Amino acid sequence: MKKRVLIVEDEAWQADVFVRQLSASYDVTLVTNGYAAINAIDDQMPDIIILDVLLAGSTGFSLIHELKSHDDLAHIPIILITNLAETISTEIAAHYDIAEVIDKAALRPKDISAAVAKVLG
Amino acid sequence: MMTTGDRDTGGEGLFAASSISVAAHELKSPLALIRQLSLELQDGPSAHSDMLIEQIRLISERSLRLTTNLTKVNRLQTSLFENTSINPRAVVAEVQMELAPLYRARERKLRFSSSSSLPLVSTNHDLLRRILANFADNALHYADEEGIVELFAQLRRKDDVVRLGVRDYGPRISRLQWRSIQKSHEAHASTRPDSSGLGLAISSQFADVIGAHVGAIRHKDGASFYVDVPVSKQLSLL
Repeated sequence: MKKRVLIVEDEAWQADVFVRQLSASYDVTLVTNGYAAINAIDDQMPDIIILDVLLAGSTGFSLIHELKSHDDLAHIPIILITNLAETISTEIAAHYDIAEVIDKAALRPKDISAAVAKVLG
Repeated sequence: MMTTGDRDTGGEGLFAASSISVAAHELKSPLALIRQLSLELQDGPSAHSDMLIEQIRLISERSLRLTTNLTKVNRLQTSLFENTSINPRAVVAEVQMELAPLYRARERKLRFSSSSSLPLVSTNHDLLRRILANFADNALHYADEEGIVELFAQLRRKDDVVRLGVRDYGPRISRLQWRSIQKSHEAHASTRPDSSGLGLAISSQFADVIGAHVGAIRHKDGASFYVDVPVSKQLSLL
């Protein structure tokens, strides 16, 4: 059975890049905002979340706060994908228990598969 | 100056040093995406190749619109942007046509509704078009379930203006974020993605130059961004 990946990304074509890279190996769900993400997490309990920092109507960190406040969700690993990677220190990443921070500007499409595989072990 | 009610949205003094970082961020996002799409193409031809090329073109054009706006906003002098009498419906139709390929590629629809008859307005055609294009570009992320965003044009007789704008749909903007949109363009960059901050602030500055007034309305299911343009007095003088 394929592992479940939830992508939370509101830039449609950026999300499509991730879906194209991951859909062969994983069961991929795509949502575009934090509210839809919470619903998708409730429905599907993903094995990993790929999360954009800037989202329509909220930020990725709001979703992380929500996840970390639930014992049954706090363990889901999160890969943070952002254009603001330089503003996210290792201390912040550690504080929020973020598995990986990836800079979109330095990202090669294939890197996302490698990052997911690495985090899922 | 952009307002909602009496609120100051911080349109003045926009392009201080801190704005350079906002502009850099606004351009970083599309450039990063162009790079990724290019790398996908480099990996070899696929069933998606034509689509990727089209996306690269549209993202580039969108970014170029932003850079042209940034150039113009730094050279804003009223004397360089003469107001003439213009058919507002024609400007909206131009914007609709200009953004149609981008909307189509995003599986969105940009519709236009207007009052049955509209008077001419006194404005600068180029800057008005850019204001509306900024609104429509910003709304791209916030279509309803059917993918519809609406351009509108309404005569507001009591104010003697024509209100032109864009109604978008999507997740309700929180009160806190809405306040951020009003307060400063820096806040935009950390709340709504893409050009919602910088593009709207640029629109506000363009509006100042052409004697128009930019505003916004927060709805339960999205937002409207509009510009009120004075009705032309030219015809009444004939």
